[in-house]
Parts: sequence; structure tokens; C-alpha cells
Amino acid sequence: MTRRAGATLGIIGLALCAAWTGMAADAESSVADLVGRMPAQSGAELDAACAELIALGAPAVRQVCDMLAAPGTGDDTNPRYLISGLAKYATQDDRDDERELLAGVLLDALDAAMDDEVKAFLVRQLQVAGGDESVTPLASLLSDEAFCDPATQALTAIGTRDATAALVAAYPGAVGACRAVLIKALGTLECDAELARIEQDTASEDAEVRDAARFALASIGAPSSQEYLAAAAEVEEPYARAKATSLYLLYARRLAENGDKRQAAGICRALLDARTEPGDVNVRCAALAGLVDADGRGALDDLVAAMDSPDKQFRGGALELAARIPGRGATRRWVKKLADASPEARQEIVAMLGDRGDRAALGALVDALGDEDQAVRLAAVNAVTRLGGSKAVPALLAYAGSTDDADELAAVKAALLRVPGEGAVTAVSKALDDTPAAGRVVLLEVLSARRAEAQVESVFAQTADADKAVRVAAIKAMGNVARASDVPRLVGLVLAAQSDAERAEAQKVAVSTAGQIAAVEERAGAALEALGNSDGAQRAALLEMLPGLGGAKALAVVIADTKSADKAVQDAAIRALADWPDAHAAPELLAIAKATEELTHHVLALRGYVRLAGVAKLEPQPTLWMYQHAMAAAKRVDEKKLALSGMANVRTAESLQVVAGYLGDAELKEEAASAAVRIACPQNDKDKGLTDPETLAALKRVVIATDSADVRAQAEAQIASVPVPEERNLAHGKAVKASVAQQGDHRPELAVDGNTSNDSAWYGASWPAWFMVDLGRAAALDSVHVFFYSDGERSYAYTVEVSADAEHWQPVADMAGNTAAAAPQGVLHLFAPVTARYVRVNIVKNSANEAVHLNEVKVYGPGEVQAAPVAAAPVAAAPAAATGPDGFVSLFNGKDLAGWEGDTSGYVAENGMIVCKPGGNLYTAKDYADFVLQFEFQLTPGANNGLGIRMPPNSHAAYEGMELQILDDTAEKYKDLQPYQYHGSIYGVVPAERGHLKPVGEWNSQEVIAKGRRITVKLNGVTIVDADIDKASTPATMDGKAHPGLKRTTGRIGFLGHGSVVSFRNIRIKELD
Amino acid sequence: MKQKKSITRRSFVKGLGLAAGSILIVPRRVLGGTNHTPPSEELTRAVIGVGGMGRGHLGYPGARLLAVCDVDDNHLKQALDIAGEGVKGYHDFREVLARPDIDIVHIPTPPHWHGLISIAAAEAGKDIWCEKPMTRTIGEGKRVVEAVQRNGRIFRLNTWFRFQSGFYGFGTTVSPIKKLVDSGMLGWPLKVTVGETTGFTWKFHWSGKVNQKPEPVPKELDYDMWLGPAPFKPYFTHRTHATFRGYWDYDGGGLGDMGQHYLDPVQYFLGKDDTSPVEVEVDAPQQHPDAVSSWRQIRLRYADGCEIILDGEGKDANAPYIEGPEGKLYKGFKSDIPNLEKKLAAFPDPEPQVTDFHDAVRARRKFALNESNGHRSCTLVNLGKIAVRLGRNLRFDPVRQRFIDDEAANRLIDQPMRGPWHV
Repeated sequence: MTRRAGATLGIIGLALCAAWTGMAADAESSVADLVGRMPAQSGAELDAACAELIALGAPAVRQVCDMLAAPGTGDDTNPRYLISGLAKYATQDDRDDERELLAGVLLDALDAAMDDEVKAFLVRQLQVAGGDESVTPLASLLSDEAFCDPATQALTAIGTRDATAALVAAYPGAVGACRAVLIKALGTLECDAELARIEQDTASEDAEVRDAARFALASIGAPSSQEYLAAAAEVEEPYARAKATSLYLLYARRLAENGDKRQAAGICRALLDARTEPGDVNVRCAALAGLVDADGRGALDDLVAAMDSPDKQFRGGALELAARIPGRGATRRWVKKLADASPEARQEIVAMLGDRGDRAALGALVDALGDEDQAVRLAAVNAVTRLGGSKAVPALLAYAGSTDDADELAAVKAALLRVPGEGAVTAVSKALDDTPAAGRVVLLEVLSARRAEAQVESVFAQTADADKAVRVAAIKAMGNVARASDVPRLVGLVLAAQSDAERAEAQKVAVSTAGQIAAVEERAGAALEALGNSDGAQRAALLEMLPGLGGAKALAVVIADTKSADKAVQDAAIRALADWPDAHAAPELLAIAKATEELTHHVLALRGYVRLAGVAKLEPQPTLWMYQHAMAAAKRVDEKKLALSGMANVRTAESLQVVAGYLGDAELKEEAASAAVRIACPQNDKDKGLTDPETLAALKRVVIATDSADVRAQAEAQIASVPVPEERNLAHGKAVKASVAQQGDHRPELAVDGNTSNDSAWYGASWPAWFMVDLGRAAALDSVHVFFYSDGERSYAYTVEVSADAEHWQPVADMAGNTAAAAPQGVLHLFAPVTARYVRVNIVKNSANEAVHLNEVKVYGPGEVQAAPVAAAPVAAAPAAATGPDGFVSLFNGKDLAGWEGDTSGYVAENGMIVCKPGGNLYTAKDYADFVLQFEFQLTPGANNGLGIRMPPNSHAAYEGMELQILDDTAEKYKDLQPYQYHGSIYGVVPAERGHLKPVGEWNSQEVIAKGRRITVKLNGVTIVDADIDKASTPATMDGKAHPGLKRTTGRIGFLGHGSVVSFRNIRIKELD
Repeated sequence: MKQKKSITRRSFVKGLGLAAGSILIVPRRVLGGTNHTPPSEELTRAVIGVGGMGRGHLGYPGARLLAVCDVDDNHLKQALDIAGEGVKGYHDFREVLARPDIDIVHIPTPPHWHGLISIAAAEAGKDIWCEKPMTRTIGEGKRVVEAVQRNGRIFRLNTWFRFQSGFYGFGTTVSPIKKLVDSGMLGWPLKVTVGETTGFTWKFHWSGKVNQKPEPVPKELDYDMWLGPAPFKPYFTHRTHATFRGYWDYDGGGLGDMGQHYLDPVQYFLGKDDTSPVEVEVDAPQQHPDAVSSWRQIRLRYADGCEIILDGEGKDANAPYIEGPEGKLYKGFKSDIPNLEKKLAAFPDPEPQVTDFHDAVRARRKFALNESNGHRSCTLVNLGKIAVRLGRNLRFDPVRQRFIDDEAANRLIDQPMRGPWHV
């Protein structure tokens, strides 16, 4: 807005200025000003600038043209904006004077221009803005080999009689590529002035000229040209033959358009007769199209006759053309053809009649619902619906009553869902009683999908049907048609259920319908009333519904029943309590978890309690208390881990200390370490994490306790992020020694001067080399912080050792395989406290050059904040990417997707996790054959992902490699899964044992062992797949599909996103020999 | 046309035998016939253009890959490595079209080649899987429609939102949106806003560079063939591979890249598959003659008053996606109509669509997104491009597919091609 206002002011100012000082004197500076205003920020600004320039006259425009420069010789961006802007400005209506002025200047500039690219640019502007005034000058370029082509294009675009005449005039004398280009232009313009010459040129020695001549003859469509085009269509080479034939057919079409219909039809019929090879079917299709062009209605017989062809493609081509012959008579002709057509052709004609939209065919299509061939019947269901709309309903209902075939009933259902109007719904409802069971199920599904509330009584009546499938369908349908007032009779359905399936459906429907009651406390009313006089299994069934209904009264009943003497009732009550939606159930759950002697009850209650701690949204302190209570009450490791992973979300210093307390427990240390870094380390860009001394001490213990390279790296990074006072650096200013000569004045002492920058560093002449600090006396040490010269690219490989006597060395850090670039913040190496006097850095490689450049070495002792020592700590902290002591290598560096390929934008590395956000396929850059893969994953509700193994890059892993399903198979939408789709299954091939996923939102750990033909999957410690894939796919795979990927012996490992958010962490692999 | 050597049908088959080892795949088309049970029901295919987009096509399942083609030797080499055994490499797409054993050609080249190769493929009897945007000009699109239909071919355009996948910020496929529009609950005519605030990013990073120094053409690239029908301009790296979308000669920036993804579903649910807008209004900074840059707004208005607003600025954070006189639909399928989902259940479902391309090829049924509706939705993109390039509002005749009273705009409908190329 302001810009535009500014521009307007500018114009006024300029006009005033011009008036004041006189036009001529200021023209030059005005041109410069106008050029400087490019690019214009709007159409109005551009118009204003162009109007000003035009007002300054032709010399000013020319001045802009003279600013054009050969590419690479100067910046002419703005002049190009202004000139092309003028071309746009001048081609708007009522600006013909301006346009002519511009064209004149462009032509002059063209004449004067020296550079080919600048000339081509000017010609292109004439292609936009040129008219008859440009024809002669452009024509003069036609004899110039370099400009024949762009000039021809510009003249073709101008396309006037004069432009055409210029092209005609240039043609006889033109040679080579230019001749071909000119002929092509005459074809495009359909100019027959040089027809005979073009006909002769079909025999030119120059292939480009021949091709262009045929194109031109075809486009022009003169009767005399046939022989020249017919012959070319008979060549052998397939591409040339196809091209020439298509031109011959274009020729026939132009003939027909020009009125030479008999000749056109003759060509088409000849091609239909001659081109009988299956590979020529497109030619026959195009010939049929040509017949319709030439004969119109007369070609109907040909189209209908085509339906007798055994070639499906030919029939398809004929049916595509059917719409071009409209009318009732033609429709009747097609209907008649149904009588003697093959089943496949009948199916195709029926579909075409549905698309054609002529209701005259409706009767025949209804008849086709009774065709002996199922494919025809299925096509008729769609066609009748498309054509008849609501009129099709009686026929569809009759059809639903006549079949029990699942495909046909599914088609009828889909069709009934497409019919408009309330009348259709009423008709469906009325038809229920007269329709056999299979069809009735489908009609109930239709009423359900259309939420036919008005039909609730008819639907409810079906819940008492003699057929179980009908009853189930009716109960399900009640879920969509019932109102709040129906809840009591839905509860009645729960009690009256004749099977588990019906009971489960009725429970669901009763709960969801009760959700329509606004007052929460009243939702359970009907269920509580029924509970008043029920016991045993029925009581249990009612209890199961209460978590979904909620309310204080319902909770009281549940709590009371947890003490029931009836085992079934007690079980149901404890389950209900464990599923309770709010924190009111928490105290009782904890009490049960502590008191019960039954493990199942303990586990149920405790898991419920931990879940509530997560959802209760209490302050951090009470939330932590809940988890601590859970820890205290837990009898098994699994529940303790669950509580720890809950604590990970309470991100306070106190929580960290509680979690760190479990680092000494061998069974819990990894879960505790993982929770500790989640609490203490930054989870996003704005988060700094925890940095108090107690936290850092706890993180040191994490580093030493954990076996996970990812967790260790996160903890070390957080410790290193907190600056340590320089007075605690034991190496500062101490005596140093180096094994190689220094470069320049970069003395070894500069590596212990407290300055970590590149400018203050020891430069050693070569590697390998060592650098040693003598601390002066033995001291307890627990970390060394090493800083190398950093430029974002180079990396240093090194080890760190400590010694009491400078003779016997103990390794504390091994970075010998390091390839990660050195960074300004250096690398902190933590290790179990050790007493030593000497610290040595051994540099084994610098990736950039022959010298070594050590900015700084800082050495620290445990200090006063060091917490209680941890038992059984490894000596040195291994770097993130190196092979761990157990032979595992981390596939994920915790920071970015280095080492991963594919949809790297669909996944993000954050907080030590790879998160599918969601994306597609992300896979390793490397192939893995036999291996043990360990990883953890966290699902969101209904999430779907997959683990591809031995997959090719860019492939459909389930078939071209193997896909191990990663799926929240507890989600409602997945209740009808095939076993080979459960979580962990080798998709389509080997089913997994269901039921071992942790509740959604918690971390699951999975191990996959691929060894030869055997694939084993362990989920949370339970083996859920253990199969030989050869045996499992013999004689066929479970899903009956081809899985060529099973034969592969190696490939990428990948996460296969299917549109949902899933997180992965601690991804490690050990390759097997 | 330059052809390195002419290939007779007989020598061809012999050469193929060597390339594919001992297995000769006989396509269904060659055997023909309904009562025929061919030894292999497998469809066969080739991918023409195997750079950025094309590499993705190599892995598409459903038909056996026999040939790949590229004018960049490095692309070709990489593609052959990925494709594995039995796949032959070509430099010239015409040699691929000459192979009688290929049923389907994929065309993930830059857009300035889409029309030309699609037409040649149809005339050679191939079915076609073409990348979006369908064609660079409206004129080429018209010719593709004719060539595909007259030759009885099956064509699919490579976008999919009108028939599958979650539709950007809506948490659903486009089907319930279609159902809602068809129900009439929103009233008529409708205004659809496609921009950042309704869940659609216009990707203005697909912009071209100006004032570039000419560079030597890399030895692996046949630049003349890469340009093909486009005007000759001196080579520089940014003009080609991976960044070509920033140049008008080959595409049209983010509008070219994403336009059909975003607009084809709109055309579908508005029921405009057989027509085009009658007016285009544009608000944009001036465009460079060669390099694409950004725009602020493009308005496409149909004869019945329906409007599609392409919002390049995303100023109105509360803009509804669809606005009608009687209701609005927002991102996430939210609406000001209470109980929308329930009310919607009573209305009819949309017509079924053929959503598997290879099924469409086998059954010879039009694919859901085909040459015909694909051309119309590409026309939305091309109308926008022309208005942005010219920086002015336009009127369009959707039947003749010509602009009304604007000669310069019409010169952008049928753009003459360079050298021997024509459609």
C-alpha cells in the first residue's frame, strides 16, 4: 500500500519536475530513474513507469534497449524488466500507437545489436508485441542461419496474412534446418500457398525437411497430398511408422474438416482393414475416430461392430467415441447390441450407457442386473444408479434381495449410499422385512451410514432378529440412529446379548449414545439402574461400560465391586477402575496395587495408576509423588520401567534426582538413564534443559552407567554446555610437552592457556603426534575437554590417556575412528574417577592436512558436587558413532539424519529421537544383510509405520524387501486386521503374536534378528515372530501376493511412514557374520 | 528428426533378447484378445526423464520396468544402477517409443517436454503416466487430450488428491469435501481460498536467477535435447536440473510445481471438470521475462460465480477454505454448520472413481485423473501463469479455450516450438 502511494507521489513529483526544468534536459536522468524503479511491484506501477517512458519518446525507449548487455558482461536485469514490461504494457487494448512505437524501437535496436543473445531477446519481445510493422525486418533475419528459427517463431506468433506471406516468400530459397523450420511454420499456419513445393519436399534428402513437409501437408489437408502421406506411413522402423501414420490420420481429419469427407473416410477404412496387428490397435482406434469425423452418424455401425472385436483396447476406443454420436436412436442401437455381445463387451457397453446419461437405456440396464454374468451385473449396479438416481432404488432393493454374494451386496450398498433423497432411505427401511438376511445386513449398514434417525424403530426391531449377523448389524446401526432417550433399551441390549460380539457392540453403542446426554453425572443413569438388580456375568458386562460413562456414582459402584466376592465381578470392577477416565480413581488403584495378592490385579491397578499420573495434569510435584508411589508399590520390573518413563515427563531437578537413584539398579539403569536425559537435556530450541550442579553430577553418573551411546552423547553435550570456572581447570598453565615440532609461533603452551579459539592453539608439524600435560601432582580426574581447530569441515582422530608416572598409560577416551567435524565447543570426555598426574592426547589423523592444531586441553576432577560413586562403570566413554563394547553400533547420532536417505524431510531428528512427522520412507544409506537391530519406538493412537529390512532404496518395501509392521493394532480402526498385519508381522507373510505393545504413548523396545532365512522379532522382551521366511512363503504367502523381496539377502533398513506420527530412539545394530 | 540409426523391427527384437536376458516379456497388448491367457499378465513400462522426479518413478510398483531414458548421462547411469538387471538405457525418447514391448511410458521430464512426449507416446500406442503440471501451455494440453482420446489410450496425471490420501490440512481425503459441496449445504456459488492459511504453501523458493553468466555445458548433458522445443538460451547450472521450475520456458515456479496438486481437487469438488474459468485477476510484482518470482494473489472466476483464490500472501489467518452463502468449511474439516458430519451422512456419496492406474489400463476404463480433467486443472495453472507473466487481468472463453480480446495472452496459448519440434 505504502509502496503504491509512494510510486504515485513519485509520478506526480516527476511530472512536476519535468514541467519545471523542461522535458529534454531531464530525459536522460528520467530514463535512469525509470530503469531503477524495476521490477515494478504491481501492474499499476508498471503501467505508470511504461507510460512515463513512452511519453519521453522513442529515443528514451531506445536508450533502454542500448543498456542490454551480452550475458556475463554486465548487469542488464532492470533494462530487461523494463523492455519486457513495455511489451506487456503496449499489448493491452487501445494502445496500438504505443505498441507500434515500441516495435519500431525494438527493430532499430535489433538492427544495431551485436550480440546474438541480445538479438534473440529482442526478437522474443517482438514475438510478444510485434505486428505487421515487424514483418519485413523479421523476414530479413530468415536468411540468417542463427536467427531463422527465432524469427520464424516470432512470425508464426504474429500469424497475420503479411507474416504468413513473408514465410512463404522465404521458403523456396531456404536450406537445411531453416527450410524445415519454415515448412513447419507453414503447416502450423495451415497455409497452402506453396503446396506443390511442400509435396516435393516429402522426398527431400534431409530427414528434417521430409518430416516437416509431411507435418505441413497433414495440417493443410489438401486433397492432392494423399500419396505423399500414405507412402510414409508404410515404413518399417516403428517410431517413424507411428509418427507418419499419425500424420496420415491428421491429414484425414483435416480433409474431413475441409469437406472432403469421402476421401477422409476412405483413408480411415483402409487403415482399419490394413492395420490388424495387435500392436496397431491405437491406429485402428484413431481411424475409427476419423470415421466419426468424416461420417458422423454413419460411423455408428462401425463403432457397434467394433464391439465384436476380441481386442479390448479396440472396443475401449470405440466406446470412447460413442459419446460423439448422441441421441436416442444411437442409444437404442447400443442397447440392441447387448443382445449378441460377449459378456465382456456387454459389461463395457453397460458401463458406457451409464456414463452416456440417456435415460432411454434405463430399462435395459435394469434388465442387465439379471445378466447371467456377474461382471455385467456389477457394471449394471453402477450404471443403473448413475443413470437412474432415486429411480434406481426399487431395482437396487430387488437386487439386494436376490443375492447373497458379498461383492454384489457391497456394490449395492455403495450404490444406495450414492442415491440422493430421504425417499431412498425410507424405501430401504421398508424393504428390510422382505429382504433375506445377507441383504438385510447391507440395508442396515446403509441406514447406519446415512444416519437414518427417523428409521430407529425399524432398526431396533432387527436387533431381535433370528439371524446373528442381522442382530449384530442392527446393534451397530443403532449407534448411528439412536438418540439419548434410547439409552435404557440399549443397556437392555447389553443384558439380552446372545453372544460376546453382540454384547461388545451393544456396550459400545450404549456408551456412545449416552455421550449425547449433556450432564456427565446422568450418563450412567440407565446402566446404574440395571446394575441395581443384576449379578454375575451381566453385572460384569455393565461394569465394563462404566469407565466410558463416568461420574461419581458410577465410580462408587465400581470401587464397591472391586471387593466383590464374585471373581468375575471383581475382575471386571478392577479393570473398569484401571480404565477410569479421571484421577478420582487413583487412590483406590494404588490401594489395590499395594494390597492385592493377585498379580493380574496388581498389574492392572498399577498400570491404571501410572496412566492416570500421566493424564491427571497435576503440578510436577504431586505428579512425581504419584510415580514414586507407583515405584514403591511395583512388584515387577515392567511396571517400574513404566513409572520411570512417566517420570521422564516431569522435568524438574527433584525428578531427576529420583530417577538417577535407579542408575545403580542393573535392571532399571537404561530406563533411568533415558529418563534422566529426557528430564535434563533440551527438548527444543528454546529449552536450555537443567544446568544446576546437582543435575550435572547426576548426568555424569548417567554417562558412566549407560550402555546407550545416544543417551551418553546427550548427557555429555548437556554437561559440556555449562561453562566451568577456569580455576577448576587442572591443566591451566601447567607444563606441557609435544612429540613433534611446532609450526611458527604456535607453542604447545597455547593449548593450556584457557583460550579455546583457533587463534590460540598449538600447531604441530605432523601427525601422528602426542601432546602431554603434567598436572604437577597426582589428582582425582573425571573428565577431559578437548578442543581442536574447527572450520566446520575438518575432523581429528585421537585418543586420550592418563598416567600416574608418564610410563603406564590408561585410556580414558577413544576417538581413533572419529570423522565428525571439530566444533568450537570441543568434546567433553567423561570417565569413572581415576587418580593421575599426566594427561596425554594422541592425535592419529587430521582430515585436512599434514599438521595438527590443538586449541585447548582442559582437565577436571570430580569436584565437590560429585555424588556417590557408581558401581561397575566402564573405564572410558566411547564416542557416539563407534562400536560399543557389546558390538552394537548406533544408527542414529541423536542430532541429525546423517547416514539416512529417502524422505529426510518427512522425518526430523529432535531430542535424541527420529520422529516421523509424518513422512514416507526413511532408510539407511548402507545395506545390511544379517544383523541384530535394537530400537525403541513410541506410537500415537492408531499410528501406522513399518520397519523395512533388506529393502532396495526407493521401493515398496512390503513386497520388494520385507516390512515388519509397526502399528497401534489396539486402535479401533484396526480391529478387523488380518493376523499378518498385526504389529511386528512380516507384512503379508508371517503373523506376529498380538498383545505385547505397551499402552500407546509409552516407549516400546524391539529387537529384530535377521539371520539367513530366519527372522525373529522380540517386542518388549517377548518373541512375537520367529520364522523361516522360505517355509512361511511356501507354497504361497498368507496374503496371496508375490513378495519377491523375500529372496533378497541384503538391503537397506528403513522406517516406512504411512501418515502418522511415530518416534524412534536408541537405534543400534550389530552385524552378524 | 535425428535418429542415430534406423532400427528394423527384426533387429530390434534381437537386440531386446540380449538386453533382457533369456526372458522376453510379451505384453498383453501384443497378444490381445479376451480369450487369450498370455504367459504374463504383467504390464511393462519405461521411464523417460530419470532426474529428480523421475528417480521416484523407478520404484513405482505394478508394472515391470524395461527401459529408462535421459539426456543426462549421469542421470541415466544412476537410474540404471537403481533399476537393476533387465532394464535398458536410452538417450532419445523416440527409441523408447519404438519398442513394441512397452505398454506404459512414464513422463517425469521437466514440463516443457510433457506435451510433446505424451502425444508421441499416444501415437505410438502407449499408455501414459505423466508428471504434473500436465503441459506447459494450454495449446499443448488440448493436443494431448485429442491424441490420447483418438488413439484410445489410458492417461494418468501424477497427482492423486482427488481420489486418495489425506488432503493437506483437512485430516481426510477430498471425498467428504466433495460430498459436502454436492449436498448444497454451503449454498452456491462457492469461494475457495488456496493459500498458507488454509493449508497450502505456494513454494516461492522455486524462483529463477537473473543476470547469470553463461557456463560451459557439462559433458554429460545434451543441452540441445534438454531444451527441446524451448527457445535457445545460454546454459547456466541453475537453469536446468532441480531448479528449472524457476524459469518460464520450462515451468512456472511453485504454481507449476504445486498448482495441480492443490487445484485439481478444487476443480473436482466444484464440478468443473469440463470447463474453465471465464476471468483471471492477478495481483503480483512484475515478472522477469525469463525468471519466475512470486505473486500476491490470483483469482479465477467461473461463469456461475464460483471463485478460486490463490493466496500467495496468507494474510487472512481466519480465511475459510470454502465459503458459500450458507456455510463455511475450514482446515481440519471444521465448519460453522453445527453437527456437520451427522448432517452430511444423510446425503449421497460421490461417484466412484477408478483409482488404480494399472487396473484402468487392463480394463480400459478412464483413470480418475485423466487427460481430460487433467487438462482442465492444468489450465487453471496455465491461466494463472499467463496472468502473472503479463501482470494483467484476463477474460477467457472456456469452450474455445482462447482469451477474449487479448492477442498477447493468446500468443502464450500456442507457443511456437524451436527447431523440428511440433505438436
